[in-house]
Amino acid sequence: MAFRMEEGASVQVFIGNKKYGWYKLDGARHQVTVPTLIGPLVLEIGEGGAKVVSSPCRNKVCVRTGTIRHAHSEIICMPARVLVMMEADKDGDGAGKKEPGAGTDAVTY
Amino acid sequence: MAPGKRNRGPEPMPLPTEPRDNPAGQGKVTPEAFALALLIASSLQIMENLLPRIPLFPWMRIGFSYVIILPFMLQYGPRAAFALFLARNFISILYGGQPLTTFLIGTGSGAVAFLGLGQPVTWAYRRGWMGVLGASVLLATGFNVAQLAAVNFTLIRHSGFYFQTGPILAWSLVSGAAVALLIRFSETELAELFSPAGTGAMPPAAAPAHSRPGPFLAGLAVLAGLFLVSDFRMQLPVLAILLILMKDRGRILLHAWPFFFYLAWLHLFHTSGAYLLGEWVTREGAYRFALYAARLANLILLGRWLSGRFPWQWAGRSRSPYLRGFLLSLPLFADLFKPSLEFGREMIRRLLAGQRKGVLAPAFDSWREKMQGAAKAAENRAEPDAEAADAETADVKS
Repeated sequence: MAFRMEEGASVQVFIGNKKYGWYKLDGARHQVTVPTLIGPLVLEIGEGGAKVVSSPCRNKVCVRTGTIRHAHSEIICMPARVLVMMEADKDGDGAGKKEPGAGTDAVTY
Repeated sequence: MAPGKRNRGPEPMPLPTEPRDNPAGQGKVTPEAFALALLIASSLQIMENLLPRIPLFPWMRIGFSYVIILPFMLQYGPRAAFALFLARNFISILYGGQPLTTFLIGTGSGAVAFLGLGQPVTWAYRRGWMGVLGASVLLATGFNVAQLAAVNFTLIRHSGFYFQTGPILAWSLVSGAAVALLIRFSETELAELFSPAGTGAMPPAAAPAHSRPGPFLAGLAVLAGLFLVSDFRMQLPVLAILLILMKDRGRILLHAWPFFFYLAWLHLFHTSGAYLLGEWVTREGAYRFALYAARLANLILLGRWLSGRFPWQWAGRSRSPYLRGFLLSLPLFADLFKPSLEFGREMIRRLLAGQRKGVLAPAFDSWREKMQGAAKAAENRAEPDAEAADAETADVKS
């Protein structure tokens, strides 16, 4: 449980263990098609959030996750091997994490 | 200020700054004063080329020509100063081979600065609420900020480019102060420039070069079209044609390298999307860089092509003192570069020797002499022509 929530600024998209791309959350909503091993997965990114609009997987858990908005939130699609991870830094290079005071204060399980 | 010290004929008019007892300014601009001011301002601009540029910030320059343009504004008002500024930019296109894009950006920024800030600054100055230093710094700030916005809007299209705001504001302070100092050092010369006697006899206006308006208008339409096309593949055929047509293409494009550098930095490496090369370049970033780089190259090359095809005959029939002054000065511009560089060296030599007063006097004196020499030569040519015309009339009558 995170004690302090931080707004996300960008999302990193992974296919398997490989980085596919990064997208900023500011600006208007737009759709991004990610070519996965089982077919195209469509993301909707913008206005401070990201969600999976459609997926070729069977159970659609990733679609039902809905919109993620806070840093460190994730959407996972196991059949497609896709991970969508929210980050607090705008440039998608993890630079924001190095700032003192940035991110969550403490995490407990 | 002691304008009479140098004993150059009649007592010159005071600089508008010193006795601020005439809030309405100091009369109307004459074509002769405009021509001489334009020659000196253009010469000062070329002199500035002697100074090295700041890497990555090549547009940060002191603006020596404002040593003329700013007092011109305080003397005759912002409209006259903008006309002088515009004419100076035209000269840069005509003789300096400046691309049209640079002209448009510079002129647009100048329009914002002069027409937005010019009147309040002149008004405050004439009432003694502001000095030369304040006026110079304010104008430099307005111009530089407007130029930053114009460059970003037309060429870069990335909010990250505004990181330059801080350095540009600091530079406005430095350059505005430097111009104000040079104005202070050149008070005697400026007072003479604004005196009716100081402009002396002038040569007749030269006939401007004729060119067909068709190619110019067609090129202008293509230039406007380039802004509307947002697919880089449609920019490429135009670029290929321009690369074939233009002779000095490599040098021209190389000269604009800081723009391409910023495009690469802001678009290629900082645009989100699917990775294309490692984790540095995204597909979307590469596309945007290709679009803006192709458009920039097109604008630079087409601008250069257009600048040599302006139909000057359109300007020949005007009664405007600015346009007549501009045409008056045209014949002398062919000999602009070499003496300007010599004035620059002389200025640096004088400054290094600790000589401040009259540091720009060689430029003022030389151009005044050149104009008076051209006037005399024109008079000498006109006399035999008049005699021949009289003889012809007599023959017809007989």
